[in-house]
This record gives sequence, structure tokens and C-alpha cells, in this order.
Amino acid sequence: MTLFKKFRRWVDEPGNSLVLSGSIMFVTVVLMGILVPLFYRFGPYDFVGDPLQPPSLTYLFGTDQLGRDIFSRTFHAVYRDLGVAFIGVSIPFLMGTLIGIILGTSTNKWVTNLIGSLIDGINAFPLLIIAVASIAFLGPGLSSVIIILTLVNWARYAKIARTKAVVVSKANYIEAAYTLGYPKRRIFRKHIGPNVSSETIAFALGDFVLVVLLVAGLSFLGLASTPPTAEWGAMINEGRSYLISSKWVSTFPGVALCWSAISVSLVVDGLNRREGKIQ
Amino acid sequence: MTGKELLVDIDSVQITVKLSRTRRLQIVDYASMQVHRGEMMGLIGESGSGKTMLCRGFTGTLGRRNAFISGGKIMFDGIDLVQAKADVWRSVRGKKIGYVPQSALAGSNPVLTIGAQLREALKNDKELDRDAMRKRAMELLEIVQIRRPDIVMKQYPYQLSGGMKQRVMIACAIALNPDLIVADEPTTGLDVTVQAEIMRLLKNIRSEFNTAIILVSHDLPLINDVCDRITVMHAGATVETLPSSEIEKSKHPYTIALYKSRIDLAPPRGDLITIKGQPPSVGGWQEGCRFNQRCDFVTDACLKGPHPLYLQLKPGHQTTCINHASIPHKVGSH
Repeated sequence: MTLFKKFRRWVDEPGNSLVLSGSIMFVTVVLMGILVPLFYRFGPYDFVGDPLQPPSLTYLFGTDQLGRDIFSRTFHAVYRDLGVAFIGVSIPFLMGTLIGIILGTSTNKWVTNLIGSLIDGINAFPLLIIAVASIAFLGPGLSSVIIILTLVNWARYAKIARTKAVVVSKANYIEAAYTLGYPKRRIFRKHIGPNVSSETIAFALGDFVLVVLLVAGLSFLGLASTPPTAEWGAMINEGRSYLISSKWVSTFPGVALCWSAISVSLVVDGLNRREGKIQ
Repeated sequence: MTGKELLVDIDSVQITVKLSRTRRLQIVDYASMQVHRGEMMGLIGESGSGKTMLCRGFTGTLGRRNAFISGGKIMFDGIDLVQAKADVWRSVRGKKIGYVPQSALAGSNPVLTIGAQLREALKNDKELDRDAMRKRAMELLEIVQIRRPDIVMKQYPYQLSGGMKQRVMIACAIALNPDLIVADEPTTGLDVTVQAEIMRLLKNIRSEFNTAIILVSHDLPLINDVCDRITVMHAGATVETLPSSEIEKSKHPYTIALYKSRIDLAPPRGDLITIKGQPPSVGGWQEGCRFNQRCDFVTDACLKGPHPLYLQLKPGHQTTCINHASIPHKVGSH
């Protein structure tokens, strides 16, 4: 009872209901992404019945133009879509935060200005345009997307981390840490690091939504994963020709995509509200 | 307190800031101060008088602000801090000199629990095991009079009040039993009752552990109440050092003016007493005594030459005023 009351009180705090519902939505998708490949009777590439059958008890989400089960394909795509987005966010996050902290605390004007201009230069290009252009010579594929995100997106994180690192390294508690004689490495690891990364983590969550959509968007254009891969963007693209007669082919992967993006957005909104940044 | 062993000896220290590759600005050009073991020294001055910079001088963080000591010497317990290399600093910072940062509200790391911050301070010295560290941390919190330390240990700084945060910072500063605590305006941003508590706490620590404390502030009456001696800084120079009990027998017009501008000395409903004029701009000091534009006792001799040096009046009382003999014997008593 007390636990339940505690829970109720927690949910009543501003933003927590959003965080809760967002997390539940996200966990549902991830769980399905784990359970369906393990236990579902149809594989993503099996031709299980007649093409373009509407959703029924046998084929929960119907079948596509080649007679593959859409339910199985939709949830087989989870680890691909969210996995690529996760890697595509975490590598730039780590790189960018590290570089940003080094730039923000370094006293070498020459190096900071050089890398600072590089960051501004990279940030000046829209991500989608760089992505499309780079895929022209990297070749389509999810690995290309990860490479591009790594090469480009770190600059956004670095810019945020640098700004924050400049502020943090001048803060009184860092001054105190120096004067109390803490070793330099520990100051970076335990004092500057967490204070800077709180800012970049916040950006990473928002960025995750964009990257999920970017991966699916590029796949829709045939630039990331290509048919017959079970991937939401590619599946939406495949169902495009049957949109009038058999809506379910595009709809279910589309819903899954929206569902994941919205779930993370809800968490971000909820956390912002908790911090009082928005009402 | 003059019979005691000398701990800090600051002699004619100059501090210069690098503004750019070629431009330099001298912000402290004559600072002298002696602190004895177990003594509580107040360092008083207006904003921009260089008191914080002087503090950074003996905590070795000037480099972080692009400043350096360009002259004079700072001796701490037989160690020359001006020449000190990184490894010497490592053995001094935290272990022999504790530091309480300026603002209580931004003084503690927002992402670490109080327990973690204390552990950080303790880890500095020797590898205590977790239990010993926890015990010592609790002990420290009890020394700084925090109630229910077991709960506070698990809390984050944002859950504490300003006064409690500052107590935690003091606990960090005394964690390794330093010989000297530098408290740079430890009560900024705290209300008056909390201020008094923090001051009492520092006093207790002084008497319990025989720690010397340098208390930086611009609040003369507050400092005068708690410190044994006071050093007054004005425009980058120390102008007077005197025992706090003899504040009314001050022999420098600036100290007198500061003391007279106490709010409780102003007549009820009357105007507050202020020091006329503006303090000289940092580094752009005029010839002679830097207080000569605002001084009531100014003579021709005050307008010429370099800034006057300390004159020893009696043990523990030094002034830079060349006309100290003509200053009336007792001031400030209404």
C-alpha cells in the first residue's frame, strides 16, 4: 500500500506521468522486438501465405505483396532501427562530449580555435544533405548511416559540451576542487565530466528521435537498408504502391516508427517539465 | 597572538594578469601580511582591491585565471609558494591549506551527493577504506554541526539550504586537518543569522584544531567581531594590519573611513556615511598614496612618489599612512 501511495505521489509530480507513459511505450516496443524474433511462428523473410491479405488472427498485421507476415517483419525491424539509432547517437555523444570538454578546458587558443571552426563548419550543413551526399560514395547500408552520424553528429555534441565546459570549469566548485588539491584526472572524471554530460545527455535524448526518423527516412529513399530487409522505412516504401487497396502494408511499420519516436519524445518532454524548463 | 609561530608570510607580493599576449595588468602591487599558527586573520577590502586574487596566490590557482605572481614572496610553513612546483602544490593543497569557496550557492558540485563530496576530499590523502571514510565523513558533518548527518550524506546540494551547503564546504576544507583555511567571502548570499552561525563555526574550528584562518570579506564589522587581526586592502595594496581590538585606534584614513561607514553608526533616519569619491580603477593607480583623492588628512607628500610601504607602529600594527601621527587618536565612537 505504501509503495502504491509512493508511486501515486511520484506520478502526480509534474512531468512524471509523461516520463512514465513514454517509458512504458518504449519498453513495449523493445520487448516486442526481443520476444517476437524469439517466439513468433513466422520469420521475417518467410513466404507464409497469399500476398496482401488483410489483418486477421492468423496474420495479425496482414501480409505484404510477397506474402510475408507484416507482424513478424515489423518487430524484427526493432533491433535494426532502434539499434542503429542507439549506436548512431551514443558514439557521437561520447566523442562530442569528450572533445567538447577538452576544448572547453584547454588553454591552447590555437587548437581550440581550429577545432572550434571545424565544428562550426560541420554544423553549418544540414545533416540530411550530408547524409545523402555521403551515401553516394559510401554506398547504401545501415553501416554507412552509422559512419555518417559518427563523422558529422559529434560536432553538435561538441559544441554543446564546449559551451558547458567553459562555464563549469570556471564554477566555484571546480575552483574548490582544484584548491583542495584533487588530482586533475579526478576533477575531469568526477567533477567536470558529469556536469557537462548532463547537458549533452539531454540533447542526446532529443537527438535519438531525430536519428530514428533519419534512419527510417533514408531507408524509405533506399539509401540505408534496402528491400527485402525488415526495416520500417524500407517496409513503408514497399507498401507505397498498395496504399489505396492494402493500407496495412505501410501502416503498421509506420505506426511502429511513430510509436517509438513519440515514446522518446514523451520522456524528453516529461524530463523537461520535471526540471521546470517548460510548463 | 604575536608570540606564536609564523605560518604565512606574505611579503610585498605583486600579482599580474595577462590580458593578451603583450598586455599585462598589475592588480596587486604591494601586499604584505603575516599570519601565525592558530590565528584568525580578516582580509578586508572593496571589490577589485585584489583580496580574492591574493587568496588565489596562496592556493595556487592564479594560473587558471591567467594571472601570476610577478614579485615578492609567499612563505607558507617554510615552503616558498611562489617557486613551488606541481608536486609541492600537491602536498600543500587540501592537506595543509583548506579552501572554502566564495559563494555558498555555487560552491558544491551539483551532481555529487554530500557523502560523495566528502569522500572526494578524504580520498585526497591516503586510501582509507569505505567504512573508515564513511565514519570520518560523518564525523566531519558533526564537527560542522549538521543535524542528522546520515540523511544529509545521501542528499544532493540542491536539497540543502545555503547555510548547510557552506557547512559542507567547510567540512571538505577541514577534512585533512589543514594548518590554514582560506575562506573567501564564505557568507556571501547567506542571511545574517546564518552568517553569524558560520562565523561561530569557523571560530570553533579554530579553537578546537588550532587552525589558522584567513577570512576574506568586505564586511568590516562582521570580520572585526570574529578575527584576531585585520588586514585592510585598498586598490591592490595592503594599507593597514592591526589587532581587531584596536580598530578604533586605526592609523590609516581608509580603515577609519570604512569603519565609520558602518550602518549602525549612521544617525537614525539620517544619511549613511560613505567614503567620498570612487575607488581608483584597477591598475590605473595614481602617484603616491592611492587613497589621496578621497582622504581627509591628505598632505602634499601623499601626492608624490610610489605607494608608501608599511610602517611598523607597534607589534602587530602596521600602516602605510605617512601621516599616521597626525590622525586623531580615537575615531568612530559616537
